[in-house]
Amino acid sequence: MNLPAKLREMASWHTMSPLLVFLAMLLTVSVLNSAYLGPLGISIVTASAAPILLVALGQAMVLNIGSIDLSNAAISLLGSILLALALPSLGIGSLLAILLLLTLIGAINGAIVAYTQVPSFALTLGTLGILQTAALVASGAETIYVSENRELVTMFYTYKLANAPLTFWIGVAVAVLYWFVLRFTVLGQNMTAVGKNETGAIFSAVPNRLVKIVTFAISGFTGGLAGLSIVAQAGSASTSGLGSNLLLPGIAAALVGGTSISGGLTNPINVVFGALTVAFVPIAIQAIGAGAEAQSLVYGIFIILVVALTTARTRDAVIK
Amino acid sequence: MQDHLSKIWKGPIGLIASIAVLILLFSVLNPRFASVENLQNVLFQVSVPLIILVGTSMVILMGSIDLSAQGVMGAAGMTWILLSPNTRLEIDLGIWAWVAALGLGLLLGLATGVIYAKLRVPSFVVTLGTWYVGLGIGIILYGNGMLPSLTDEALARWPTRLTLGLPNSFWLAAFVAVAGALVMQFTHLGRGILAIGNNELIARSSGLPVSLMKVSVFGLAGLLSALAGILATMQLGSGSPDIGNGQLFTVIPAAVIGGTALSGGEGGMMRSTLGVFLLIILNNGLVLAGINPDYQSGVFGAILIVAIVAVAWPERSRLKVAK
Amino acid sequence: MRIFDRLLPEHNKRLKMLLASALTGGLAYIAAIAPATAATVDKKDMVMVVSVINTTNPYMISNIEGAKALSEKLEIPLEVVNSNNSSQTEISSILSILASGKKVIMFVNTVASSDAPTIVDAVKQAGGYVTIWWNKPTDYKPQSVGDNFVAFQKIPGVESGRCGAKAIGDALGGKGSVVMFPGVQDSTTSKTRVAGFKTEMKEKYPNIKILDERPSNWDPQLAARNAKDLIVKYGSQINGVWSADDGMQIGAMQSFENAGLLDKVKFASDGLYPKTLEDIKSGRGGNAIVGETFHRGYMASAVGLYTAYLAATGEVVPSTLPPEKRESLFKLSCVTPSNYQQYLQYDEPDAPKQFVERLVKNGPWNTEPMPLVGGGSNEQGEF
Repeated sequence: MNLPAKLREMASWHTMSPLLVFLAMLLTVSVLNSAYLGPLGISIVTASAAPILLVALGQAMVLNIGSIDLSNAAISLLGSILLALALPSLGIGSLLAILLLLTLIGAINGAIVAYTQVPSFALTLGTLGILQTAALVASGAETIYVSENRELVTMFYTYKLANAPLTFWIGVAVAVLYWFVLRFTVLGQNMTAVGKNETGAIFSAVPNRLVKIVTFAISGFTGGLAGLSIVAQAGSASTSGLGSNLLLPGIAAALVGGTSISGGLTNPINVVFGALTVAFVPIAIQAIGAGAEAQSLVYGIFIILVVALTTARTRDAVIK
Repeated sequence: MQDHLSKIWKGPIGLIASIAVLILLFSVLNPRFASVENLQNVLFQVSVPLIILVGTSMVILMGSIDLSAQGVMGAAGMTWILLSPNTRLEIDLGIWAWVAALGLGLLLGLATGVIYAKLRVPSFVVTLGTWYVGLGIGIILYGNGMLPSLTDEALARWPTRLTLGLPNSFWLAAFVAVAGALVMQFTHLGRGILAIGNNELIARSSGLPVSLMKVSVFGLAGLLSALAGILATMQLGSGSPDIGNGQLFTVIPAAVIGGTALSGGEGGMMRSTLGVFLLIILNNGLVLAGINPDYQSGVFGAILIVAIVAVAWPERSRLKVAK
Repeated sequence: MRIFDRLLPEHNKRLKMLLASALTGGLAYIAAIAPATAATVDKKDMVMVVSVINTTNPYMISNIEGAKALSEKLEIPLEVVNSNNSSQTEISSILSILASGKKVIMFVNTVASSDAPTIVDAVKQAGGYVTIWWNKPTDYKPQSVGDNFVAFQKIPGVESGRCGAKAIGDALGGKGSVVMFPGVQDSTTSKTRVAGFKTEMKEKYPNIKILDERPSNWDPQLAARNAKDLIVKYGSQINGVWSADDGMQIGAMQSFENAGLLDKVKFASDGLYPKTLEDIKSGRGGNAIVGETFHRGYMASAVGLYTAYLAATGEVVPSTLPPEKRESLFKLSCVTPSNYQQYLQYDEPDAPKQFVERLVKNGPWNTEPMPLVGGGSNEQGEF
């Protein structure tokens, strides 16, 4: 493809809209108060966006193959609790072990979906319930404070690059990595093929079952990273505190980031802007002075509006 | 034999058998389970999710999904109680409170349907948005004032009062469920829903007013969610924007367990009803058996997974696409 | 919808790009030429913040009233944060106010204990002053953080639980069975009240049996459901019900009334909410409510905010305060159907304003009906 055509493709509405939406929001708010563009403002938005981003990235990858993972927020919550429990005694090695475990849980999700051919919505709903109980049992329904080795994990939150915490940059790095995988690797192209037309993919000898297992495993892995970012910010983990409510913001961020709900169209880099936008909504509401009661209302209208504007529409496709 | 077995399992017999097994099991674990009082309790608890389920089933049969029930319940419930005799305001609009609340639900549903059908935004996204919008309306209506509790004793007592031995709230839910079943079975709309769920392109090209039907179904679902919100508010005796909490994760599994496929075109009202009974009986039985409430979601989740795997297992095929 | 398609036709991507760029460019231009900040700057450059768990609970509503009254008295603008029961919302909203660049004077009724360190750290970074009410991690002391964490304040939970236990114990004549509804399980408020209830029962009323306890997260609906389940499970065995707060009690009472058992059971709780007060006045359920505690949200928020304000103006230097003024216990009053009348005056419409007048005159630790009664050490099991 020659350069002008490539630029045109990049600059298409669909690709640019998440960034533009975020910028528009940022600028509107900063007109009201320019402090929001200052160092403190940036560090606040990015810190809030980090766990949402990580959960959204996993979700975006799963949405890409045409499925959905309702359990990935529960995976990250369980991860945060396990990490808070294990950190004092096992140090940083526990982080790797927990990530491995969570990736495995994700892979199990994928395997069940792939081999029993049950709808992922229903399956991950069931897994969600099981993981919720696991989290309650593991934490004893108490808040787990990281008593030792705290700095090992809170450094991800306190150490800042360009005013954004490390947790956010981890999210960006993962986004770039996933973008690369989707664009340039066979695995990534297989994922998109499964998302766009699974029957066709099967006939083209795409190993669709393996693809599903790997994709859900990826969702579990990024969920684990989200768990890390939760513990990093709060210095603790609990089933009812920070990080207990990431499922819907994660899905919203993926959608606002241009991910198609029917599959085959995902740009992880845009999901970064989707997450920033979603994290920015409460800030914008506070800045406008709309009162926190209006938050839910604005959130709802916003989601519909953004997806309505950015959804790619083909003439005869069936929208479910 | 495989085919035969799978048909039996998929049919309502499998569900009824499971319910019977659960009832037996829980009665052994705690004899109070089988008491008349508990039966009334179960029927009382089934009422609200059942009303929502009638609407949600129709949406799912059409191949879409509806996540908005909790929000619409909150908006409608708050509207209803603020216009009925309550501790905060002196108004009593009687029947008009119902009209306003149901009307709000209908409006939210129709708006959802239009955005979905005409603007072609996926139902998952629209109903997610409507959920938040409804919740937001409920929160704004609540504002900063005092807790609006029902001051009319008769109204507050109505859901629990027994008629012919069964709670009034259940009679309402049963009426709605039967009406829903009749609509599915005997009306154009009902058949149209199944056609759209089965294959929308063919439905469209055979002349069905697909967009109109879609909007109507979502409107109906909104109306029913509003009714559920009013009932739940009556049951609690006071208003809250969160009156719908927890309903989504009861209703959708109930539909799925009842055999209503999330891809559309398959299932039915009666089966969904059995699904919700299964879940409520399970919940109730676990409480009476003294199981730690923390385990509840885990048990639900496990049962959901077992149920859907059992249904899907006989249908496995290399070329099958399940999303 | 054809209009929509016409406005943004799929094939005319360039038009959309143009529109979007124009919008962004226009906003950027406005931002560039607009004055530095559009917000009005108070001469003290301060902003008062009251953060509550939700706005549906009467206690929280009262928190907001107290903040409003103080904000009017001190002439400092007020921002209200409604956490909607979510730690994430609470923290995002608070952080966003901090990002606006003003010096904050903050009262936080935390959603969860674990929120406190995150919030306090952020306030410290922004140079503000915060008082936390009710819930914080046990080992997280204001003294170790610095002057920005002005104080942690609460009403004793153990005493509240004991109050309720005594009321039920006496009403039941020392014999019978009770059920309990704790609040959010890992909140210090709930834990201390539950501990107080159980200790009093064990020490003074050994013949009273605790049948079951069902944490109901301060939620009337959940309490109503749990109560219903317990009624089915234990039926008429239940003689007494203790709830960690009135919100849950209201829900529980509804279920008992639905089951026709309201006049056979005695209730006790904490908070003396408006509805509860009404029920006591009317003798609902044959005087079903036997014990309550009196404290008001507006007093808590006014005291908390005023303490932070004094630190912000330098009138009080937190690091020089004795331990009980950094981790403080304020007076709790035990209420019964026979002595509730003396508290009615605190629910008059102008009561918050009058309280604030007394507060500014006497200081945060000496204002009736909620003076400082203790604090500073962990021996009472409160912190």
